[in-house]
Amino acid sequence: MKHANRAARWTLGVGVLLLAGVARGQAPAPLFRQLHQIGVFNAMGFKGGGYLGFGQFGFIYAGRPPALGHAEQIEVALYESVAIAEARFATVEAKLAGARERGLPADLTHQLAYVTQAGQPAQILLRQDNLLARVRWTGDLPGALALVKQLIVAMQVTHDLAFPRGQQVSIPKIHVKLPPKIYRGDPFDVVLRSEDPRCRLRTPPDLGKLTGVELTLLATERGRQRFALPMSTDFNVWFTYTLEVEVSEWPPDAPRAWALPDGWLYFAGQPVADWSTLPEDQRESLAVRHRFLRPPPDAANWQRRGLAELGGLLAPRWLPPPELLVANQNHYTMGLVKGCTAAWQVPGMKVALWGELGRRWWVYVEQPDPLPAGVAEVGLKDVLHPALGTPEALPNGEAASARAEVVSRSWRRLRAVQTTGPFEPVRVLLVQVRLPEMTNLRFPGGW
Amino acid sequence: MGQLQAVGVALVLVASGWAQAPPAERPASWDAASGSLFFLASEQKTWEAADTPDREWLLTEPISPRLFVLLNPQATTMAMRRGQYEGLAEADHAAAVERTLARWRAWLQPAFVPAAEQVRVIRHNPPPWPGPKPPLLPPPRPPLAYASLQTPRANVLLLHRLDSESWFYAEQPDPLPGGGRPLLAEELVRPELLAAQRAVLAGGPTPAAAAFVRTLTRRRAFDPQGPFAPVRILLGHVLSADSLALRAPGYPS
Repeated sequence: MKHANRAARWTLGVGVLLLAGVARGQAPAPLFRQLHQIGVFNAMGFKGGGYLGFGQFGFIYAGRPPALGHAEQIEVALYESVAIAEARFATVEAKLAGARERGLPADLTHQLAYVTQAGQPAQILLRQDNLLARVRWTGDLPGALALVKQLIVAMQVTHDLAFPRGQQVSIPKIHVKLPPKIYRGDPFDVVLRSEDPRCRLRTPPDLGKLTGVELTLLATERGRQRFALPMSTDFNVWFTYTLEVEVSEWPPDAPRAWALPDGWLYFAGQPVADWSTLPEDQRESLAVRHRFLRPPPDAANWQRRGLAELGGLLAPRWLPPPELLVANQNHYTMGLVKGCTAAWQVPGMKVALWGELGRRWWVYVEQPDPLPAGVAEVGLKDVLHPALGTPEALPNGEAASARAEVVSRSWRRLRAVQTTGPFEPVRVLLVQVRLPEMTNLRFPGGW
Repeated sequence: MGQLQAVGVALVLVASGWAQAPPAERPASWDAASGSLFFLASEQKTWEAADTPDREWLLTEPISPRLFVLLNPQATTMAMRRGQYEGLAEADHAAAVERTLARWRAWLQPAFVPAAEQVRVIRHNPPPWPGPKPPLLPPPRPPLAYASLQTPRANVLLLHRLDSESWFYAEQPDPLPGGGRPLLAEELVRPELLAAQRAVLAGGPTPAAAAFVRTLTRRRAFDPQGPFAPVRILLGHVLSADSLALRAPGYPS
């Protein structure tokens, strides 16, 4: 009874506000166009907090509304239509475990669910037109309803700031960059960019290795394959982009990408279930592409330079497929060091390559252990460019005893691409190529 | 950068007169007048007026704190620690000198191998890790050994990162007085190291180390104001295969 009274007062309050808007001749447009995080926070009186990450259906923000108590997180998303938002409400609500509070105030424009579970914050799920919001709430139902009321009021009265409205939600046009060939069973990189430079795209991280608009997808079907990619703009407009690609069968002996989910290779001397549990002195790993690297603005140029440089160092067989060579820069060195990485496989062999342009390169070659019958172990001689042994004339009349310094070592190990395995027995050849520029009279030296 | 920084760290100590008096049968230490070597590639009057690409120097003072990078697969940010170089305990120092000399005997011509008394060893001593120790820390940096020589043919600075790599700087006046002969790369470093790649490509065994030597002409001074003297320089580096490991040798290091 007590709840019913509060609900009645709450509905009355919202109704008065709506009527006031209509009386002024300002009937709101049917859809929310955008959602501005700072505006939402200000409208709700949140203090502090900020963007936390991707949630079940939208972006999650942390915040603390004073006087209302204990709302811990708010997750919000806008959709293209009310129907989509209704469907998402039903899907999300069905997945919420716990007891439902029935008889909550609702009208034609909003849906509301309040779910409690022992030991967990309560969850308030609200759909208003094409907006879906979820608040994690520690407190009682009246407090939760007061919070929801504040949110709905904010939606009604701050159209221009936090919740601008319109007749339709605009979905940005998307420019797609794909590799020239996509093969079945092979991961491929796709870059998605909004054609409107003012509108950035975001994707949930579980879609690919990188957050943002660079995804690694896996082609599994020959012919036309569709990927439904959940995506959002900076303004919380969520939509599904359908990417359609042509998938070919893999040609025998052609190089193909070697997927490294972490960008790292993990080694163990003996069988182990989880590399992380090994004693520190037994944990071996190589960083082929670590997360401190970012693509430089002129990546294509650096990729070309990387290929040209490698062409003078490695025998042609060991040059990476151009589409798999990724240019990068180390943002901890302010982008002054440019490099490239690649990881690929050919039948019976996996190869990784990484390095810094004009400075040094590493080449990692791996074969199964034991080697298949009739297969020879790869050695340093196989990897080097034939011209590497000849002296080189440097600019300004200087002389150099060779084109590069090269050393190598080989090991037999169990190797995995994730810490939890699976581990495979392999023979490893690691080659380091150090270029003349690394031996110089500059201190502290060119980064 | 780390390697070059290491060169600078060691060379400043050498040039600052750390080296002790050598035995009579050994070449003397090269007591450079200042803590730094400054180079000019062209005819600028002062080093400070030179353009940045032409402004070369090998030394710095005082010893720079080293950045110490935490890099592991689980790291979400890159942590850094600073520390100082310091000497080793006596027993450790003697062992490190022996290991250094073993490498230099294998890599250098005998005339350029210093006596044990001429070799100094320092190591980087990072401060304690603030807070709980991360699960994966990189192994400690190897100690650095260095020496200087004043031979009849050239003044030489040597640096060695223990069990890993070495740098060599050999300088002669340019032009050489009295019909002197320029020092050749193979007269400083053992020829088989210089021919390592060639030998491999010819079907030889995989070498345990490879060397690289640049021949440069510069004007060198001990002070940025000069005076600058024309010199011919052999700048060398030897990389040991032991420096390779399955332990993230990639950047940043």
